[in-house]
Amino acid sequence: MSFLQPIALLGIALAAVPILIHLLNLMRHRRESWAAMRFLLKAKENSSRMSKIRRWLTLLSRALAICALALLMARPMATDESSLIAFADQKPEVVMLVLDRSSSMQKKFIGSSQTLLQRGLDEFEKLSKVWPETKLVAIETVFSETIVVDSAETILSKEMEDFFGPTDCGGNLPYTINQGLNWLENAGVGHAQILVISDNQKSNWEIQENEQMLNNINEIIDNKEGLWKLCFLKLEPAEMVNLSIVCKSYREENQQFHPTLLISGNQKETKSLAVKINVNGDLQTVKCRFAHPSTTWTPTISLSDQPPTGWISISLPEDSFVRDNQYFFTYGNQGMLKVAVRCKDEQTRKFINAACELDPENLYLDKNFSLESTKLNENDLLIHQGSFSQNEEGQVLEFIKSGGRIALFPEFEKESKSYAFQKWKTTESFSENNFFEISEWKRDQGIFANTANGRDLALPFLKILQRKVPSEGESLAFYKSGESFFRKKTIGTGVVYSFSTLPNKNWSNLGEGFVLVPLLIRIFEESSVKSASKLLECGDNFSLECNGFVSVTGNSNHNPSIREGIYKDLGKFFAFNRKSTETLPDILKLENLQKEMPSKHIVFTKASTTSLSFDRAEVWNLFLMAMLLFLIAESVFGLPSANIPSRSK
Amino acid sequence: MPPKESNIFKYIDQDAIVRFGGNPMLSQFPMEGSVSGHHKSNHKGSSVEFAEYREYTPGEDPKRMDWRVLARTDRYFLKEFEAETNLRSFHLLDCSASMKFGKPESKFEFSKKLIGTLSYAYLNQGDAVGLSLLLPNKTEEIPARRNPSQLQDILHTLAHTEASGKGQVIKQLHEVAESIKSRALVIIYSDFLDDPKSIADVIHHLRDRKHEVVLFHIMDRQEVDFIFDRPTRFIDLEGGASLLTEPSIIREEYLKQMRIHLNEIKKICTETQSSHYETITDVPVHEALKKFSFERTQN
Repeated sequence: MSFLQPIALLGIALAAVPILIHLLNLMRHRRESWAAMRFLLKAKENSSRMSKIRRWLTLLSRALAICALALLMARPMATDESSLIAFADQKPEVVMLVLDRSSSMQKKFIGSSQTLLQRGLDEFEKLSKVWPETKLVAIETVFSETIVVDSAETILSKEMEDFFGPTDCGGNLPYTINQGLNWLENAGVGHAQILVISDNQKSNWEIQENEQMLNNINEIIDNKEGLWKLCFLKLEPAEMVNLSIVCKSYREENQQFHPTLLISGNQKETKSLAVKINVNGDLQTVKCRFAHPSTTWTPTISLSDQPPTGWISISLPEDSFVRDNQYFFTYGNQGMLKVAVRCKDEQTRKFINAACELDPENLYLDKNFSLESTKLNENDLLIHQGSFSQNEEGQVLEFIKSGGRIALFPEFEKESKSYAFQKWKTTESFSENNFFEISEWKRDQGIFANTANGRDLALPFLKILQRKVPSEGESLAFYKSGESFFRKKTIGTGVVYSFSTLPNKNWSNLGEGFVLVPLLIRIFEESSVKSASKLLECGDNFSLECNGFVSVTGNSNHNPSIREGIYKDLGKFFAFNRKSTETLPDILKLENLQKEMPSKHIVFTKASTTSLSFDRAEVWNLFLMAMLLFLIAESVFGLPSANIPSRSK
Repeated sequence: MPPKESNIFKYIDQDAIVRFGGNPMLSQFPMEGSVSGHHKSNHKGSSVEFAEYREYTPGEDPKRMDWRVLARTDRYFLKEFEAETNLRSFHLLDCSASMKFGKPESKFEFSKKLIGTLSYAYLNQGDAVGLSLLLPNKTEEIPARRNPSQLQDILHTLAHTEASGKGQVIKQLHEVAESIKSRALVIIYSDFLDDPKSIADVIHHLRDRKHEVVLFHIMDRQEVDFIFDRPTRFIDLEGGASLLTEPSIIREEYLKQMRIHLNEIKKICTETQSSHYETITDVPVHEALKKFSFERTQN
């Protein structure tokens, strides 16, 4: 309970007035000579106890009526007893929102048309208004990064949808809370109110795996001795008709695609579902027989009239929660690393092509790539030897910036060269008896890391007659003279690998393969991370790095880190689906969570289904009613109970 | 200051006398009078009212023998008639301080009017009237007489009497009961604030002495209604303790106690065939005496 006009509470002191009046009245009584004292004394004797009670009840009613009036004028604001507001007795420096932004938060809130996420944000907005001057900080489960916001309205705005809007991700709430607490610790925050809003889906808590982290959270809150207060607000989803679809496995053969799908439902029924299958935009509807609780369905999707690479989406009919009604796939050689080779030096091209053909299943090689004829962006890696025209330089720079990778070998010209992505020094040469020797390289990780059995790469055996040293990027291997043998430079999301010599007999024995092949394979491995053929999930590490991916099935502003769908990048399709664990219906009980975090400074509460949990409505009517009741009581107790005959004459 | 001699007649209510009319107020029990009058006597007499036949006993006066019966039956019978005599009415006035209570007219002053009016009425019909003033320490008596000057004596005595002090009414009533030798009408004017049991004893005593007992229970309107609007300190008129209270709170219980007391006195009166008249001082005297006169003129 709080008051908008607390000064009016001083009026409670006026409650003493009726008592004073009563005492004054007794002092200024009238005197009356009386004959029938006999009855008077008996009446006094018999009614003294009752009369005393009635008198005090009358006085009490009057005093309480005045108190109620004072409280009424102080404009009381109501809060739920179990709410964080009641829990907080001091104005906090920071109010932090820890928001569960997992896919399941898109379900409808019980008894409302709002989603759990919208409801949670409304609750936070209400809470933030309790302390309008306090700094607001928010952290959510997808990025787990703290954001300081001006006001709660900012969180609700359209512009912030990427950070606080709906997602198809999972979540790790203990980790996110821990991150939030770390931020508070680093910021040196004294008093803080932390509101965790979640539907408490078990998969987002993973209590057993996160036991240590939960204990840590409990310990931090306990150590703060009430300075930081943590409130878990559980949002209850409505029990509505829902079907969900997940993929157990899939295979692709003979121009046919065979996904094995698990369709689950929460209603006890058997029915035929009209499932929509979309192949590269060609929509068809297929009937599927569903029986409660789940049905495994393996449709056969023909790809005979479709391009060699493409995408498929399978959609169930719409129900109360549409986020789990779709599943996305890609087909074709999406998983193969597309490597383009463009070498002016014939020997170099031959060596490189030979190295690339060692793994034909995972590599799609364009041996004679031409910048003029083929789109560079459809490749993952460009292996290039030779010079670039100005136009080509621009194309390559764009390619790198958008995430492309390029392995550069020096050109024959002796002069130093400068491109936007790399600068080359002048070519240096040694006689046949003297070589440039490599003495040091990064053995612990990266391209030059030792082999799995701990052996060094055979770099000391390289005999380098000519070198053209790249000057930009991180040196991963060094000549004896300290010059770089190999550099790795990151531009945007792309990477430039630069060799300082050629697999050409006139330059070095790099073409013998004992160094070049492992280096190229490791470059392929690094490059192929982005082209993994597995089914990807929103919010996983890879999705967070996928900037610039263009959505095919959704809006242009959709991002694979938060939204499922088909995305395209560098000519390849990527299927991102919602986190599979989000389909699991198990909800964590607050008692179980309380067992893990028993601190008295942590409260666990459920969101009210009728009004906002942190709603602070004025409750003047309650006190008005109370005042009227006390006045009625005063009348009942204070007035004579018997009928008073009119005084005759 | 005592009233002037000419003002003593204010105690006779003219309206009441007019309303009584010419009908005599008769006693409800046989009386023993000294002269002939309107009231039944416990002796047989020579009135026109037949009483009974009784067998003649030798030695009795043969004047009252019914000769016709003797002629017809050859037996000796005496024909007896009711005797009618006058009565002696004794007016007993409680003069304790509690009778001073009442506005605008005190219970004492009102009682005086009742006595004055009834004394006039009884004297007027030839009955003897006496007065006993039950003063705190003594009883002043005017013996019952039927001569016309008796009224003046009574009124004069009333005019010069004031209520005061703590009365011993019960004890004095017992004494009066003993002092009245023959059957009489005893009318008591009091607020009867004593213990009902002692009141009962007195009434029984009077009835045992064959007196007709009439109680005028004099009350003030304020005593009956008990309406006060603020805390009040009640001071006992007879010198007892004072009491500070909120009248509105104890009103109900006060009225209940009063009802119980009244009912007990009424019950005693019913048992002893005595008359009890609740008289409130704010009603006119003729109204207060209406029931009394009605019951006695209808016999």
